[in-house]
Amino acid sequence: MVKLDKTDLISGLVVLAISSFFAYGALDYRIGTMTRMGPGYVPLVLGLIGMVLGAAIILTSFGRSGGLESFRWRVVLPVVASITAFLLLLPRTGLIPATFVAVVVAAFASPKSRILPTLLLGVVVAALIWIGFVVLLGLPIPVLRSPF
Amino acid sequence: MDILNNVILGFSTALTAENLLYCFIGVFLGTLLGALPGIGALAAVSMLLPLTIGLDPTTALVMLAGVYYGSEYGGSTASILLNLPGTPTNAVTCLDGYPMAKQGRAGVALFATTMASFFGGSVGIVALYTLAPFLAQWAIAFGPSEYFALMVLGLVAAAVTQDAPLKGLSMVVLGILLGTVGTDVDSGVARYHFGLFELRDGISFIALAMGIFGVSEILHSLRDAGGAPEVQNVTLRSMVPSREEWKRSRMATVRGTAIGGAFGVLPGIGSTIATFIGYAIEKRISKNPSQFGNGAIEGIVSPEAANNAGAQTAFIPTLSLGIPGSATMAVMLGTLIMNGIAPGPQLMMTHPEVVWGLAASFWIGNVLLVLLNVPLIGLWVRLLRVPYHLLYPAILILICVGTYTIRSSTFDIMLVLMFGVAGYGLRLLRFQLAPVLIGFILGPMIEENLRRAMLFARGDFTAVIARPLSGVTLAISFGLILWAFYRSIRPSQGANAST
Repeated sequence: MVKLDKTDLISGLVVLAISSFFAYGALDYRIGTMTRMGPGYVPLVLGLIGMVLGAAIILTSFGRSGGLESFRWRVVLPVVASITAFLLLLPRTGLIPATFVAVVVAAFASPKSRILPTLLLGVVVAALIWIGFVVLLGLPIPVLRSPF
Repeated sequence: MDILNNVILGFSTALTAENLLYCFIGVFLGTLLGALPGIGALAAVSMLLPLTIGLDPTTALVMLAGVYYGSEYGGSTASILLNLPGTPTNAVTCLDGYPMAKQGRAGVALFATTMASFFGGSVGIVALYTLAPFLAQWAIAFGPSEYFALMVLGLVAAAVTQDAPLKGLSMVVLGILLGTVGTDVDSGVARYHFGLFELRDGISFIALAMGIFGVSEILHSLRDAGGAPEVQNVTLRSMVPSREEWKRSRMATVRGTAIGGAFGVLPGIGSTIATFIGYAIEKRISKNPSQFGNGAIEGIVSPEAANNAGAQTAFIPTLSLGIPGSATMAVMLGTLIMNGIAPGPQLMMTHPEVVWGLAASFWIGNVLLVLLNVPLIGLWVRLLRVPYHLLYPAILILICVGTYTIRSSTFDIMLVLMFGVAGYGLRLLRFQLAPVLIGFILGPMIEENLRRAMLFARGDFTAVIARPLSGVTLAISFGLILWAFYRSIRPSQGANAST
């Protein structure tokens, strides 16, 4: 069995992919010359450097073993949903309902959350955010809006 | 004398009622956030940055600087009481701080770190006042070649001092690439905008910082969020150190300060390494090294002094050259740029009140830190008892609202989300994320200076190497890159060194 550091192998692939993307994208812009660099010059060079680094990381991942930490969907999904809900609700319903919903949704990421404390937390955070940002700092954020 | 004038100008700027108030708010909120698990100085500074919008640039920086060392301090409190380091810098403090807490000496440990931090910080500020003007005067003659070379060195140094240098370098490259998104200043061409109108102005660095340090940190911390942590009570009386502890920590504080001060000046290296070196030296010269790890007071005061001295001297390259020493410094520079002030050696000439007012506020902030933390320790202890599952939703909202207020744009919140999830993925792959932000801030400046240097040199890169300063600087950077490759090829060595 070949020894392989999975974390580093994937790391290298990720770096290689991102760098290639930028290097390839740079070809859409004028590259220019060394003297007069076009907008594509620096991104192209950096993309190429990144590709070399990615390849080097892939090479070093062979010959030693290592596992991979798993991506925790149960934590990530509620947080993603919470932020998405916030950014969708903010312009439609205003700050207070958006905050409340986002807090409640985010609570699903932790197995320790209980229904009543979570609802209470939502109310408290919404109130504090409203007082802090709108009342005290006077920032122009819609507070309460009818979605219809 | 010039320095005296600077001190006077600085204190007269910093001691206005408004700046004092914001310094206090900054230190208070910084300590508060820093004490929370999973929030380091960088996350705290980027989260509170929205609060400074609309403030005078000096006041904004004064407040953010307060947040910065407040959160460093709060982090050390969490390290000692909970064995939960908020930042890598605090990790060393855990080694002996937590054993001290378990022995019931948490009060002494907290008091000793406060004093060591104060001493280290004060010396660092003196160094800032005396060294920065000379550095700036020298740097004013720099051309684009020198800037380009120095920034490359800063980036390379930031990358290769990480555990995995090749991964660090890739993160720097990624950061610079993210920095190229948006309209190119030279040609007016919008790069990598994916047809999105919002991306033509470039990626908001707040959105990037909040995503990779705020959201991804929460995702990462939720992994092992336990119940309410057990925290022992700390009374004022228990904070008084014994005569022996006092004696042992005195010289250790001085040594830590010297190490931290020296390392903090180096761009890109920052104070994390200084804390490790400070600890290692104390252990080596100690008469009974076996005490280390079991609650040796030298083991906490030296790193803490080093950390705070380094935190102050890191402002020397930031303010006199415009090259940030750490990601937090990069955020500070970003704040300056946001306020329309160009960082660089001319900053001391064009905006002396910003530079010296900030430097003076560092000292005032350090005094506030002592005044605030000794009596308020009970409050921080109570805060540490709040279970994480009640905190993280609130932090998440704070991040979202904070990002939104900068440009009143929900698009930026979406960026935060994307960078947060991407940052979490990169963390799982054991990438360090601080180099991304340093690269992102320095990227556009590097590109501009490189282009100008090449224009002057008519495309002949040897002209850049032929200039003594830029040549030597680039040679050092190149050497560091070679060393990085060498270290990665010999993984067994690297693995041993990191433990």
